[in-house]
Amino acid sequence: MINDLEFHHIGLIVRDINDAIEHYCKLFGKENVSEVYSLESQKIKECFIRNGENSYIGLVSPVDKDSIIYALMKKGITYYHIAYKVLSLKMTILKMEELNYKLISVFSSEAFKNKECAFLYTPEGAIVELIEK
Amino acid sequence: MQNSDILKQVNNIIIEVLDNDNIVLSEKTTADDVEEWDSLTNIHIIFAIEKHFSIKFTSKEMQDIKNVGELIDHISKKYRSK
Repeated sequence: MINDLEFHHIGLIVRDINDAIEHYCKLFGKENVSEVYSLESQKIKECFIRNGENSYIGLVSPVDKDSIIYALMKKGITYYHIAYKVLSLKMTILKMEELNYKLISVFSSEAFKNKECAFLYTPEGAIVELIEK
Repeated sequence: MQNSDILKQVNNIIIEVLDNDNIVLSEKTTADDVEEWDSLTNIHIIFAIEKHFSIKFTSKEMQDIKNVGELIDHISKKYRSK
């Protein structure tokens, strides 16, 4: 059991982040919308909509056709990952790999003050993101 | 198990995962040669191969495999060392 996984957000791909922000402002209020971050390594823009205690929707839109998010978007995929905050990224990756998760990438995220993050595939082929606290 | 047998079985797995009966693999085939074989479908292919042969790939092995020949070599080694 990995007992330090703290739910943070679900990732939702949107074609136009500004259009999506306008929509989510109507649902959750402008005060619950974060700034828009540019994640160079991922070739995406991302913004978080707070919808509860430590619970967010991560709006993600591709800024380049090389982005994997663009490929997912073209396949019609919308909700595509669940993100957890963890105490130790390295330890959690090791524990997850023992459970046959497959590491996709490790990167620093501008959305989390350049903290280390990682994407992994679950044994069912779904995607999880880990964010080091 | 001979590499040619593994190739046949891998071919069948990929046909099933990608739902395309026309796929014919050789050891030189890369993911780029098969239209539906992208980074998203690749993980489903790997998990299907793991299940079929009762083996496991590490994340690094997955990222390092360049073509079907290398994939078969990994399967062969892992299968023999079970």
